[in-house]
Amino acid sequence: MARSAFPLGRVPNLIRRVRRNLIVLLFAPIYLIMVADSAVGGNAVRNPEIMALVIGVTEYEDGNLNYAVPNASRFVAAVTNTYPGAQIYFLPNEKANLTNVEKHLYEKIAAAPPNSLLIIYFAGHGVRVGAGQRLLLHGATQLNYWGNSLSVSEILEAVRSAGECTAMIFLDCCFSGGTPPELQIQDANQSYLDSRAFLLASSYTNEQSIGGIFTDALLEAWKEATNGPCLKPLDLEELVIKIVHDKSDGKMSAGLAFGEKIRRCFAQLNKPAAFLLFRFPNGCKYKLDFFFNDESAFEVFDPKDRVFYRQVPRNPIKVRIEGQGSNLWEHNFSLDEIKTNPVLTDIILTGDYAMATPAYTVESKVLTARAVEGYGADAPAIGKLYAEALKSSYALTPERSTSELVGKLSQYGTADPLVRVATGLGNDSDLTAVVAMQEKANVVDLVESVGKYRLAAEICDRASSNEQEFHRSGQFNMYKAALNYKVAGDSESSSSIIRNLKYRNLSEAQSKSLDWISGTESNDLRRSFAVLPTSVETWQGLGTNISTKFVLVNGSTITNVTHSWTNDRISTAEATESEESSSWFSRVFRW
Amino acid sequence: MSIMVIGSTNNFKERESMKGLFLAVVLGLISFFSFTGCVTHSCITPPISYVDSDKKKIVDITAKLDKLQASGELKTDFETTLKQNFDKLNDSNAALLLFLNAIDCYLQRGKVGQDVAREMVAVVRARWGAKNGLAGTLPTLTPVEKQIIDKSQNATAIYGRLEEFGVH
Repeated sequence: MARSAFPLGRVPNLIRRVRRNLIVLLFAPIYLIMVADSAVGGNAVRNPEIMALVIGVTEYEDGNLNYAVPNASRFVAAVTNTYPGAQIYFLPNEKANLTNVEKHLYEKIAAAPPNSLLIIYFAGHGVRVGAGQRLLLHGATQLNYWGNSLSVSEILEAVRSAGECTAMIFLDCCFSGGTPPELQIQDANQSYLDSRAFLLASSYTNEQSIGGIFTDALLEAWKEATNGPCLKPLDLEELVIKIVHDKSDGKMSAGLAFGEKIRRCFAQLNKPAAFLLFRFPNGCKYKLDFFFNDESAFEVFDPKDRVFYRQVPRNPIKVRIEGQGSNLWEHNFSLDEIKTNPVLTDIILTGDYAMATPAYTVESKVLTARAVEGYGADAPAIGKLYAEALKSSYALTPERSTSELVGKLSQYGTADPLVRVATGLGNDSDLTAVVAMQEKANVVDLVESVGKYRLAAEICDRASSNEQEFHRSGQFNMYKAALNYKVAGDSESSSSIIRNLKYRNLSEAQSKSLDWISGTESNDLRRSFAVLPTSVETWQGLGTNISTKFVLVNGSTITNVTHSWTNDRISTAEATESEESSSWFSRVFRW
Repeated sequence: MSIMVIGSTNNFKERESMKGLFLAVVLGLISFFSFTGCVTHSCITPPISYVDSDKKKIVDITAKLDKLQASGELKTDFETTLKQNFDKLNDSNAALLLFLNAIDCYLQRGKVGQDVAREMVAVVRARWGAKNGLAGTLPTLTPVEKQIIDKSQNATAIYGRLEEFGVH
């Protein structure tokens, strides 16, 4: 038999192979599309961009500003020359209507990938509105502008949303400048934008801008900044101020509304940046001078600011701190150390410079979280910082309101089950995780300290039935459950546990303390929390005159207080500074 | 010389009294319209201008503004006239004063109330400011604006007019 050209015996294998290959061939494009898609718009990191939103309005119903659009065009040319490849959105006249401007702000600027450079420019009319101002877009008049105007806050909100992006904002219109409060930048979210954005305005808050003088000056300074030595935004401001002052006969005071904290060359703001933040866990009593590569940071650090931050080029950099003429601290940051933002550095000052107080520590952590949030980082990183601040606040300054911090954690989330449970953001799995945690002693204390008495009672109630899991005396857990139920207003549950507890082998002091809990109003109990047994040891040692040390916190003054138990009564704090302070107690935790 | 006597002596007296009556009616009508304001003479004082090319334009614009008194939509028509004519004058200060004077005239004649008059003043100021390259205005006069006004021969009149409208 002649061999067939197509060996029949191999057909099934062939068919299988073809089928397999066909499947691969059919699905390969889909697979490639999925990979490509994820590379472009999915979870993959987008490359930084340079984006410019340039708005110019000449045509107004109540009088044309002839220079506005031509100046905006000149600005576009300057950007193109300095940053070839920049994506420029030029909106002149009718294109500068509110809908279109907002579309570009929120869909382009706010959505920019991290480490992008954002440039925003406006030339047109400005009006003062109460304490703030508005930029008039196409279709607005100076008497009727609602619905056709933009506030500076809206621009900054878009910039804020584009985390880790550097932004430069130029406003050539009347009343465009001022301090952050005058620009209505009071929101904590926007107030830290000065770490990565600057706003250069043509005139002060109550001054008119004339004839496009500002843009003329800006473009002159821009040329110098891009062709000459490194000019930082602060240097650019100095140049522009001088030219504007001369050309306007002193009628216009151009200037930076904010942005002194950017220590990078104006012409290289498109290059990668590093965000350095310094804090002082031991406190700081005196003002400090910071130097970056031996160049002064210009602004002196005031201890009341708690943290010091700057945006610097992402290159190796030497940072030095001087205090009262002496070198206090120095470090050469390598490239590896400043690769990811933020770079948080704790500087422990000692001796005369140290001034650690609970309030300082807490504020330092809160301001760190805010500054990093303002600069922009991923949500988990920000959430983690706010969680640290919250824990610190609970522990060290229990009288401080935590509503802002809890709100931030609602926004950013936290992976810390302890904080999630304590703030009421947790779920059952968080509670299970908390119960299983090693630092059991802190769980109930933390929950109590935020006023979650019912939750504390439930944790203790649950734990008392599972002594093994909680690593604590079942008796102590029952006592804590009874106490917390009573404070939470659930007398019935409290009494039930106390009845149960009294059948156990209690000392006379323990029994009397339970009677005291039963007979005391919730509010009084709450005030006495700190003086009641807080550990198995103090519960077990009740009636044997165990001394418990507390730290009394009143503002920045710390006083150590020793408190003693007696068999039949609970004594109050010994050391008092004032009538108010005697009613405050705090326990110092070590986190 | 022959005198042509038309009619009798009685007819002459009748004609003379007719003429007198006619004259009285005419004078009466003139007086009537004068007192009732239906006179056609303008209350808009044109500004002084030393710019030759502006002189005729000022006259034309004054006439246009004058006619607006009969308009049922005075404010709207005024703003339209402002938009179409303000920039025609090279001397922006003269233009400013002209339009302010027009508003004053309308106010005096009860064509507009105080509030509307002030709105119209704001619109005129905005246009004047834009023409001078000012990217915004305040309710009060700014140093920059004063500096511009001070250059004008009509400065005193301008300040006076603005003062009347509460702009200091």
